[in-house]
Amino acid sequence: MLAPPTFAACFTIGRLGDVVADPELGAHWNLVHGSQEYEFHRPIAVGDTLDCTPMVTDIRDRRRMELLTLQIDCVDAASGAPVLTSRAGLIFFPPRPPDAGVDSAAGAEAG
Amino acid sequence: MMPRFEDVRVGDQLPSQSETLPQDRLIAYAGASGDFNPLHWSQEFAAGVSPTGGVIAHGMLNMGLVSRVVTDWAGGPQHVRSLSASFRAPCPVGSTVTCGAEVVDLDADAHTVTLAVWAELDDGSRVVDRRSSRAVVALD
Repeated sequence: MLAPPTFAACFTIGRLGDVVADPELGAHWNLVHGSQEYEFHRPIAVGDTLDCTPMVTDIRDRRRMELLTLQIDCVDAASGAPVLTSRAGLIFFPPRPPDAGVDSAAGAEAG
Repeated sequence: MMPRFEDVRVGDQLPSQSETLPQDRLIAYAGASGDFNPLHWSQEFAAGVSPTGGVIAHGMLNMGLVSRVVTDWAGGPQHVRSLSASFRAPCPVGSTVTCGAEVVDLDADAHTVTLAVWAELDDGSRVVDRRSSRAVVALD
């Protein structure tokens, strides 16, 4: 039995929280998911054990936001053969005072 | 019946699918995916950070709906070589999204089809932007 393509969200997006919460990164939760790409080297099947290695591949400023690209390479744990490459684009909004309006983020990409 | 490569033409449209996304659907998706960002379930939190000032759907939920359009047409996940989504416009909770795809390129050597894919709101907002979201599918 094969997994639907975006089942990969369970181990590429759900675990993003681990990265965002890493104190060494210094990120915060004022973020949205701007883009996502999955490259399947083979389908994901029931019974697979995958080793997934996340890597921050880019951080850049755009206007008052910060864009972070997180790549996750998933390989078959037994053979080491590549299974999935995931690339997530995260958009961090600027911190704002508690009483600020919502207009400043309008028009941003959001997902 | 799944399509054969030789029968596919640039410009072909895949059958579209529409779905409404109420709050319980977003909570179910949070549990299924493990993405518990409060942007998708807490109005209080969303008021401070959301592009709309309110709760919005997970981008990945919409990508999943787009993916279903592709796999239903292609005959299953084993045909999908890649899938990308650009989450352009926010998708407010309660929205009805319509997902579709169109053939934009063919590779006769690899027997692969490139699809522009999208998820759009009734007002035309590009939740998954067809201009920069693609699926590559291998057919027999």
